[in-house]
Amino acid sequence: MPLIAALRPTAARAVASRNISFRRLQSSYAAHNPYLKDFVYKDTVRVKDGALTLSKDEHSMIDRFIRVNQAGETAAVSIYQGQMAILGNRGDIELKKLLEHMREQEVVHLEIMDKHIVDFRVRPTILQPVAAVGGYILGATSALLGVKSAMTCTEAVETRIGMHYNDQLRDLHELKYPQLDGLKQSIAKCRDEELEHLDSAVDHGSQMAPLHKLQFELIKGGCGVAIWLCERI
Amino acid sequence: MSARSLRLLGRTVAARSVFSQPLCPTIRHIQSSVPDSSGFSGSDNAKNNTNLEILDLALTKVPDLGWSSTAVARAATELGYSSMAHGVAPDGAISLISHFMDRALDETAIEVDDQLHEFPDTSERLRFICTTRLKQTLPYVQRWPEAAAILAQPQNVPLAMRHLTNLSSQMWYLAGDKSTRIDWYTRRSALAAVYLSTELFMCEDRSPKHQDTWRFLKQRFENMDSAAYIGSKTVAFGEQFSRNLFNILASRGYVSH
Repeated sequence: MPLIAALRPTAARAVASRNISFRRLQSSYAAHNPYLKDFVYKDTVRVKDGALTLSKDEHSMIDRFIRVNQAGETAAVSIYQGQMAILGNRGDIELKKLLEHMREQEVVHLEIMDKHIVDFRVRPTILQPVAAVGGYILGATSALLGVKSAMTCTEAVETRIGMHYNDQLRDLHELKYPQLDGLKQSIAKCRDEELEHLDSAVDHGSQMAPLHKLQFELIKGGCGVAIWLCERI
Repeated sequence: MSARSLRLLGRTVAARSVFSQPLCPTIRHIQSSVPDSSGFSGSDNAKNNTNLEILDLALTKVPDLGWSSTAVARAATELGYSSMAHGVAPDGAISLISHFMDRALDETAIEVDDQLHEFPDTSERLRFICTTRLKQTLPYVQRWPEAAAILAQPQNVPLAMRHLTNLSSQMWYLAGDKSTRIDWYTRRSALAAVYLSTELFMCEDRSPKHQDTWRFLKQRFENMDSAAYIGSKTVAFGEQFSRNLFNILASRGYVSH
């Protein structure tokens, strides 16, 4: 490429090897610089299979999605840990195995989201430890109210998460960038497994819990607030 | 002005400039080599380039004229554009400083790119990246205290914070940081503190080849590396909280030890 040859040798090598991120080079001059207020903002994100040019809104949307997903999976892992701590020792082997299985799947989801955080260079939310502790408390409290209440808690959380992942997939599908296919596939896989957990929770008697509707709506609402916070903070 | 005469002007200016190579062609070529899949129109490109050209040339005037609108106006006139009052913003100083910080980070990323694999240790890599970035400020080190004072003005503090956090974050990413928990934040704030203190030290340093600065930087890095510094305090707090909660529940009989 004759244009690249005109650059300094180190710059030409860097561009050719695609090792550097072009984020700063192209667009963020305007993000900070008051003199360049009418600069057209185009952000280039270095994704594993090649650079991707996004507008500011698209880039911040993807950042928000990955950030909140990681926080959500952390909370999910600790919810199941909390439930297992209370319910695991009642002698019900089948329940313990079910909880353990669901927890392991959530751990895999968390690893996937961690990988996306690194790939897309996303800032993780500062509330991530709060999500971990809060999830444990939620799981433990719901388990203290009984097995069926614990299942209601799972049902509410998974319903909200299912809605949330579907919204994300809808927004990502509108973008039509092939480089985002890996992200879309991960979110789809997580959503499918969360909906499986929802079905297991219903099968294990979540609808029979005392004050089911109250618990369900309360926890679903709490999840909504948590999602809103983690997206922004 | 024809493109050819502009290029000639660029070369003449470059001969006297502080940077060894003319900056303007670099950014134009990099911009054009990125595929614009989202309708990045040609006229916008030209407008962006003009502004960047003016600011790049203005940077070469900073050692003489300081961080001021005067430097920007002089650069605009030299390139053949008019230095009309409304184009040269009243905040010419902060826009120059902001542009310089963006440029310096880009140059750091480019220069550091081929040599990073030679360092086995993340800390060594980070120190090398930090050194390279500090060397970008060296040509302006006489005028940098002015810039620091301007950045410390209340109306500029949010911008300065954004630049500092972005700098710290990009330096860690270049060094290969893969943290995904709260240590993402603690690492960046530690590096920002180290970088800021070293830059201020560099402004006053008169030793030959800035040896004292590099020694100061090395000491700061050694402090930062010690286990008590990066993240372990926050992590320890979280662990302690969870452990206490677990113990309380266990003492009530709700969980078994």
